[in-house]
Amino acid sequence: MNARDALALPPTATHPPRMGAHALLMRARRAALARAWIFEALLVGALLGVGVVAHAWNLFNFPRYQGDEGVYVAAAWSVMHGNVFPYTYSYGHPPLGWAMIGVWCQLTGGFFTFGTAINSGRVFILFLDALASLFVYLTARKLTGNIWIALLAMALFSLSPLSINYQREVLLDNIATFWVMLALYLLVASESRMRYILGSALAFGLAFLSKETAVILLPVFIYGVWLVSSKFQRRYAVVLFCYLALALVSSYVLLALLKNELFPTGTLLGGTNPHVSMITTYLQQAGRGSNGGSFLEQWDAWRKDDGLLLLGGMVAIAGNLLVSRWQPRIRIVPLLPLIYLLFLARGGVTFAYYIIPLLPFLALNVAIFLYYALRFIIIWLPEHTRMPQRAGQWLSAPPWARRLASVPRARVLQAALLLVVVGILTVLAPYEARMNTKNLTANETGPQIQAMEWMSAHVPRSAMIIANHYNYVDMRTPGGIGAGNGAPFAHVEMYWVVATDPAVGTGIFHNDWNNVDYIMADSDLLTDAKNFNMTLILNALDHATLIKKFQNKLFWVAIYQVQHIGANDLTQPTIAEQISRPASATPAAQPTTATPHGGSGQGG
Amino acid sequence: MLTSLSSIALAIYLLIICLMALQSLFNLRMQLFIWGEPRRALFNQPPVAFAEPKISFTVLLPARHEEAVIGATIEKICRANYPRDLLQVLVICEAGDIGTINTVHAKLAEPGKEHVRLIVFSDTPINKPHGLNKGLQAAAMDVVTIFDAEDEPHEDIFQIINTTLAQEDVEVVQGGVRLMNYDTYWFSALNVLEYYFWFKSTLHYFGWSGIVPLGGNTVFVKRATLLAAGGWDEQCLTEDAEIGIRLSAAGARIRILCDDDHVTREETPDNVRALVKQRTRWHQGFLQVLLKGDWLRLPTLSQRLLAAYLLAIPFIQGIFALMLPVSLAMMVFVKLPVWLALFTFLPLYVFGAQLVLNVVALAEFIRAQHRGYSPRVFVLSVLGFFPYQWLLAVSAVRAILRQARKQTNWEKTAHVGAHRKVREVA
Repeated sequence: MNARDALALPPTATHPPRMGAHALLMRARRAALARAWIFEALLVGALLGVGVVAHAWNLFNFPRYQGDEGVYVAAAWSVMHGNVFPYTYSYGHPPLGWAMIGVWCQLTGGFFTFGTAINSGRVFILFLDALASLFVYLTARKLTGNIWIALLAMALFSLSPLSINYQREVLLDNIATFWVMLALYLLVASESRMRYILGSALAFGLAFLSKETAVILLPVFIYGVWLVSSKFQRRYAVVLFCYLALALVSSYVLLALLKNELFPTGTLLGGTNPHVSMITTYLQQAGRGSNGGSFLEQWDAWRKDDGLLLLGGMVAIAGNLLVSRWQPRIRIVPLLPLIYLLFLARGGVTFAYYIIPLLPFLALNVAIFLYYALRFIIIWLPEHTRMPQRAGQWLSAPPWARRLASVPRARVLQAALLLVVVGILTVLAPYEARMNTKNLTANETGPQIQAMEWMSAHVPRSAMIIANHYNYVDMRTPGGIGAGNGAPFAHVEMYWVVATDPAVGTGIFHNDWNNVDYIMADSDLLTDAKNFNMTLILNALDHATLIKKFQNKLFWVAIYQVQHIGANDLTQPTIAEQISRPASATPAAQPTTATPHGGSGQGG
Repeated sequence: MLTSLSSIALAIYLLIICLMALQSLFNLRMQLFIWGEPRRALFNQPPVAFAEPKISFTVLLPARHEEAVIGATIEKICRANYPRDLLQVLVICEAGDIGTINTVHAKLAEPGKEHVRLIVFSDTPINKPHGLNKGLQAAAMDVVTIFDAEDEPHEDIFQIINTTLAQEDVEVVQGGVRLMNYDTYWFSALNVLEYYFWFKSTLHYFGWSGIVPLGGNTVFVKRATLLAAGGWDEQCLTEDAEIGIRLSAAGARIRILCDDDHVTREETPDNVRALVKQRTRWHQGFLQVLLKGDWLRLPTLSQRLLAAYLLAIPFIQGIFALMLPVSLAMMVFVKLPVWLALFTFLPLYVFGAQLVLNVVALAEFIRAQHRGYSPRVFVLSVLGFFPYQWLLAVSAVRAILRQARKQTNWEKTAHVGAHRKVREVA
């Protein structure tokens, strides 16, 4: 301890260094610590590298570009061009996540450094995943003090097929999870130091500003602060944590307030001009019916991808709750996934990627529970049942057994942990490899990229195009693969926005299918158009011809050209003839399950 | 032309906003210092067992127009739990102050006051540092300490200081001072909180940095150290802070010790006018110390910067408090881009943190005094926050004006003994 700090004295009296036996001992100890540190860093680096490679391998091919990824990348692009969002911003999510993506792209030389804009976003997410798994390691290391257990936690997290699938995607949950893991690590590492606790509050607030659902975890974090702070400072620590976290949360509301978009139109504070309103958006979201999967359906899907982690995680959560009766400091580790699961199980929509925030918590719970279970068996049980004494007393016991009984039990625990972790990793490796086959080899994005390249080569830039969200930046920005070497498209609009935002549906397309020239359709677009009755898009499809289709075994993208009535002044009518129709793109090859209404979309 | 002017104005405004936020954050950092790490809980821990009394103390008790309270204070000090032969009490009065002198004489006539002496001086300047220097000339013991005429030192304070000096190699010990009457006036709670944070935490931050603006009483300095430093500066309105900076620059080791049970109890000024006068004097005193420049002799650059900051705090805060209405008007009337507008809320968020911190500390304070919580005090501490800042700002302006006009006389605070009533009620 720093004597100056302890006594609040100015730095006056310092003793001249004495190179005695003690100093030599300390020097040797420091050298040993340095060696241990290098050894640990090498191990962590190696495993981290494996995790990064597993995420990076096939990153641009699988999974396919999702609509949401396109939205966030487009939003990042508009932040870099001075807007919060490419369309009317209705406060669906706070903007920090995509602002970070935008800054990343700025720093790495633009949106197309890695191919498509979403590729660039995925590389950023890969970077955050690596940091998040490092925080998983550090958190487990702090809570158990054991390298092997911490390595296991990191392996379970970063090699899980669920993680390698969903944590590749440019989703706000991945950004929020990074911040949450930072907040958790700072809390666990705080040793009741205020600057760590406040740092944790800051990270937590940023997690909320990346994805608002992080706020679900706030009660557990507050409880965590209560646990890590000392009695004399607890009031200050808890109150200031809450204040700082909520101040950041409130800045999101303040943003809406400053833009006069907090209160709904027609209320006392909302005024009479029509505008979006944060309050309305969240009321709608709260009342959103269950159109996506239910929690239980999703759970089944997740179980197929990585049942081991899910099952092990559930057992470990229960186990850790029990352990935390004696080890209160680990209590937030089971409480964090528990409160999030309760939130998911409340009903309402559960999307597949909602698993993301759970993954690090599940991995931590499994590893930490394993540690305490082994500790219980090797240290607690013998102490309370006097087994080793008896073993030592067995005169007939062979010498090795007696020697073994005299080894300090802490050593035995270390050895057992190493053996068990190595054993688990050995058994786990083929499992993870098998479960990750698709993640590492499948190609889903191929048709998506081909479709954009084809559009770039064959379609006039003034065409009015409705497409899935992932096409937006690449087709509308110079340098994007969908823009090719030529000029970018002026109107590639996101289908969801066309259907929901009057500024686009009415403002740009005048609610008339005849104003649409092309539709770049995939199964998502067609399913949503049907399920949500997007009339403009359905009508346009009714009057459209399939002119080109790109597909492989996993995914397809179909390009429809709308056959206009009356003056064909919007596009060149000859384009359909210019293209040699491939034989495979006949209507029969179209997967009928995904087409909206009885093949009329392709017939034309 | 107009646009470039307005953008320069905007840049200056944003810079001020930044500085405001940074300054308030730094203030918070100092106020929270003691709660920053668990080991710092020990900083204010009094000794568990007292050492054998060995060190002798001279108590300086400067009094001017204090006939109402001086008798009780002498009595209180005489009842301290410490051997009589190791104590010397010097009451210091100015010759013209007949009332106080008579009261002290009457008190000295009572039994058990053999170790108390009255020192009367008739030369100028008639102020506290001059009186203290007179007292120092007559002081005979190892350690010199000061109490004010209205103070209520704890009965074990000499035991604690004796033990601390026996255990730690320091020249100066600054004990805690605490205002008690937190619910008398609208500004009482805020005034009480200032003292609470200052002695409990902020002073430790300064101690940790090696510069301590000492307090006006409950300060214990080895007599040899005081004599070597040449006593107090009789021209300075805040001789306590002045000698603190001077001793720090000379490398004296200073220990701060402020635990809830052994603080010296005091009262807040009894009206706004008195409060403003008191603050004007302090601020002007800080200004004098700043101009005098002893802080330039501090060993490291960061210490010199911190000292300059410390002495300038009243003026920086004054400017910002006066800026606040401007800033609010800007928020309402000037249309800024949303990101900038968000940014201008930063100081407000920091002030919010200060309010929250005040409420927490007030609850802790009331709890330490074993008093009941009343919502009124908390509401006042929040509602009064900005008006209180403005009072301090006004005092800062007055201090600058007085210093510019070379008015350096005392505007003294009257004492009615409100803190004693508080204690009796409790």
